[in-house]
This record gives sequence, C-alpha cells and structure tokens, in this order.
Amino acid sequence: MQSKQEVVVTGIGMVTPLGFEYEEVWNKLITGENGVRRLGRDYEEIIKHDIYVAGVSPEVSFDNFEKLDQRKKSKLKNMNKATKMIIYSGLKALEDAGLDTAVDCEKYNIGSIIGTGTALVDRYEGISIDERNPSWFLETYPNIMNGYLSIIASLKGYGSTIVNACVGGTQAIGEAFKKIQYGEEEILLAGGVDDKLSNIYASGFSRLKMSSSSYYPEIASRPFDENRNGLVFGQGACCLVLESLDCAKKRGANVKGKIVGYGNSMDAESIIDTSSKGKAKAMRRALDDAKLEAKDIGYINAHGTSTIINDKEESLAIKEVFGEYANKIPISSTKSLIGHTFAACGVIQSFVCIKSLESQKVHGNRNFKSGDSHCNLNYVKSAHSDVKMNYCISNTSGLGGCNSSLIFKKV
Amino acid sequence: MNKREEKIIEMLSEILGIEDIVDTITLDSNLVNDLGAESIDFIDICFQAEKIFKIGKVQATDIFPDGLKNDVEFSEGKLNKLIREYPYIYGELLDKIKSKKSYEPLLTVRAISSYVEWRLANAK
Repeated sequence: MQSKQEVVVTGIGMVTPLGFEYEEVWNKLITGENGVRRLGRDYEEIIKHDIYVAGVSPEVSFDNFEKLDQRKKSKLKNMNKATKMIIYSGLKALEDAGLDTAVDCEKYNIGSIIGTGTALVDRYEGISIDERNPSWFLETYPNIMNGYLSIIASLKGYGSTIVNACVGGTQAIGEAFKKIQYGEEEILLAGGVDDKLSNIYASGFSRLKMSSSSYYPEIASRPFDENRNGLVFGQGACCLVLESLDCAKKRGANVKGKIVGYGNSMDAESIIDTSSKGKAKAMRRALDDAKLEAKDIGYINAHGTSTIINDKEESLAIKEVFGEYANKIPISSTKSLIGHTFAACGVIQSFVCIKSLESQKVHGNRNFKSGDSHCNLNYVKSAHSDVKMNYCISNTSGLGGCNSSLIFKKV
Repeated sequence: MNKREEKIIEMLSEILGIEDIVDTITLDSNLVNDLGAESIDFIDICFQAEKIFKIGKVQATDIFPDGLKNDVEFSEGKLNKLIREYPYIYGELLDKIKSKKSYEPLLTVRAISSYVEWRLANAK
C-alpha cells in the first residue's frame, strides 16, 4: 500500500463580513472587531422576521484580477452573490498559491470541492415562472456555482459539490484532504460558500426559533454566553488550496498550514436538536485519524453558534472527549465575530486554525461574559490570547444531525 | 444601422459581456465564433428579445435551426426547405446566405435582427 501523503495548505482566499484580505481579516479577528451590523431598509424582507442584524459580506469586484479576461469579468456581473463570493475566494486562493493560470491548473489537473447550502433561487421570488429568464432553473442546482468557478478558473480536474448543511465546507476540506493523502490528487481547491440572508431562510430559522432576535449588532452573537439567544446570519465564502507536501516542495510553494485529521459522524437522533454524542464522535474520529490524543490539541475553534442547544451540547462533547483537560483548553467561536456563515463556516474556521497555529494566538469569544451550568469551560474572554500549541481542532455541526471535525498541525 | 439593430447589439453586449461594442459586434458577427456565445447564452438571447421587443415567446430553435453548427454542406434544396420552415429568412439575410453559399449567416447578429423584424411585422 502506498504511504500516505502529507497534506498542506498553500493558498487562502475569502469573502467575509470582515473583508477579503486574509491577513487583514485575521488582524480584525484577534482585535475583536465586530463583523455583524444592523440591517438597513434594503433588508426589509429579513427584518419582518425579527432578524435585525447580520454579518453582511461586502460586494466583490473582479476588476483587480489581471489574468481574467474582460469577457469573463463582464459575465460575472449578473451572477448571484454566493456565486460571486465563491469565485472570488477560489481565484484568490489559487493566486495566493501561485497557481492562477490555466496552464498551472492544467498541469496539476486541479479540481474543486465546494460545500454549499441548498439553492432556493430566492432572487426570483415574486416573479412568475413564465416571466423568469429560463436559466433561473439552472440556479436550482447547488453545483452550478462550482461549474461557474471551474469555467472562470479553468479547473478541469475532479469536481464535486457537498450539500450537508453547516458541515459542507468542513467536509469539502476533509474530502480534498483524504484524496490528496491517498495520492488520488496532487492539488485541489476546496471551499465553502453560503448566503442565507433571504426572506425564505429568515422565515425558516426565525420560526424554528434558531435565530437571534437581538436588535443590537454589538452583542447579538454571543456563543456559550448565558444570555445567548440564537444564531446570527452571516454571508461568506472561503477557499483553500490543498496539496501534497511533496508537490508543494517541488513547486517551491509557501506552506501555510497542515491538515492531519478529519472525522465525521451523524447523530441519528433528531433533525434539529444537535447531540453531544455525535459531536464527540466526530472529534474522536478526527483524533484517531491524526493518531493524536485529546491532550495534544492546544485550541478548539468551536462550532459555537450562539444557540442554546448547540453551545450546551458542544460543551458537553468537549468534556466527554477532553476529560479534565476540557476545563483548561482554550475555546473560541469565530461566529461571535462574523455570525454564522453556514456551509462556509468550516472553511473560515480552517483558516482561523491555520493562522492560530502560525501566530500562536487565538481570537476571543466576542460577547462572552459568563456561561451557565453546561457552558462552563475555558472560553477565551479577551480579544485574543497567546497559546503555545502544536495542534488545534475545528468543529462543525449541521441540521440533519451531521458533525465534522478537522485537525491542523503547526507548520 | 436602424434602432432595432442597435437594440439587438446592445442586448448582445449585455448577455455576452462585451464592452467594446463598436469594434466587436457587427451585423455579420458570428455569435459563436466571433462573440463566444454558448448554449446558455442562446437561451438568454431569446428571453431578452422577448422582453425588449415584446414579441411573445421565443425558442432558440425558432431562430437558429437545429444542427446548424454541424451542417456545413450547402444546397439550394436545403435552403428552400429552410426558407419554408423559417420565414424570417429573406432580404439581406437571404442574400448573404446565397452569396456565401453557406448557412453561416443564420448564426450571425443579422439573423436575430431579421427574426425580430419578421415577428414584429407578423404580430397579431
């Protein structure tokens, strides 16, 4: 049997409520800058569902991509926000990895795996089917975004779209990791994207009492805090270029991070109510995959959605996996700063883990003041904390009862 | 160039993402070879033409005969059959086909213009 390849991250690209440039986004995260804002009149459809704040990502522009011809740039104008965000992130990640030409993509047979949400084609809401541009129908296919990305970035290798609620992005990274680890692919672009800031999703999450009805953007997202009252919507996309260490060395690529473990589970209990058992199992399987023990992990980037149930069950799961050490290990949720970016969150969290290991710093849990009888662990209170660590873990869970964890190693 | 033709060229520039209209799009531009249109763009062209000229439903095959891209062999018999099936093939468009001895003009901007002209003239 062929020996496993070491898998590294050589490119990062993103669109988040805190901006596009990842160094800048990281600096904002560790200084505790808030990416959540009050929704204005242009979001009346959302506000009527008692959702007043969100992590809104800025509009992207493709003007600065010099290697993209004008025809492609112009075609991007009419695409929906999620498609633009994933294409922007993908192009940026490839550029960051030094693989931004069609020749590079052909040479390494680069493909892409994208985690995304369902496609409800909300932008056509209110327009009768006969009045819609017939191409609206294509947008109902969640993989169309990856299709457009492949055309714009000239990706002709393996392609897949993962629709698995909020673990989609994590699984895109995880599946790409495995394909490279087992030598099936040399380089893959893996990412996640979601934009649920629409009438349909706002209505759904609000009626299920899963979203925060807070009017105050400064304090709405408060994972693990005793006063948390639901998730805050966030828009975003993030892509990573994954490749074998051998390939990165041969190319002379700058290695930014290393992935060493990936684990999944399903709760098989409830569609909505997440379970500590499933979360613990995903973490354990990731640890087993990395051949590590819980005590080797120096930081947990939690799913931490700011819902009553997730944060309770995740804290219980951490106690179950980490035992006594659970009280010491620093934990923070990126959602406290940018809201919940759904299928994109696992990829943004992966970026956070990579930067945390590189800088030996972890960002804080914005708005965490004090926990409760279940949420009584070491949630980072300050804007950031210095942490000496060799490994960290990123957790995600999603509706339907799916859980997925990734483990990263210091380069 | 008349108003209808100008509108069609403007419509194509939007759909196909062509900013430099003057140097790029003429009535004889081939939608595929010169302007880079693909299948989804033909659907969009029909949809936008419906809206702009208010000519009712338009299917891509109403303008562009099936298999045109592959059918390169020209014959008078085939042309006459096409003229019967596609009554918008007349005037300058027909002259171009005859002079070139090719159906290629049916994939040009001129074909869309001729089709729209015919639809407007034959509106109930």
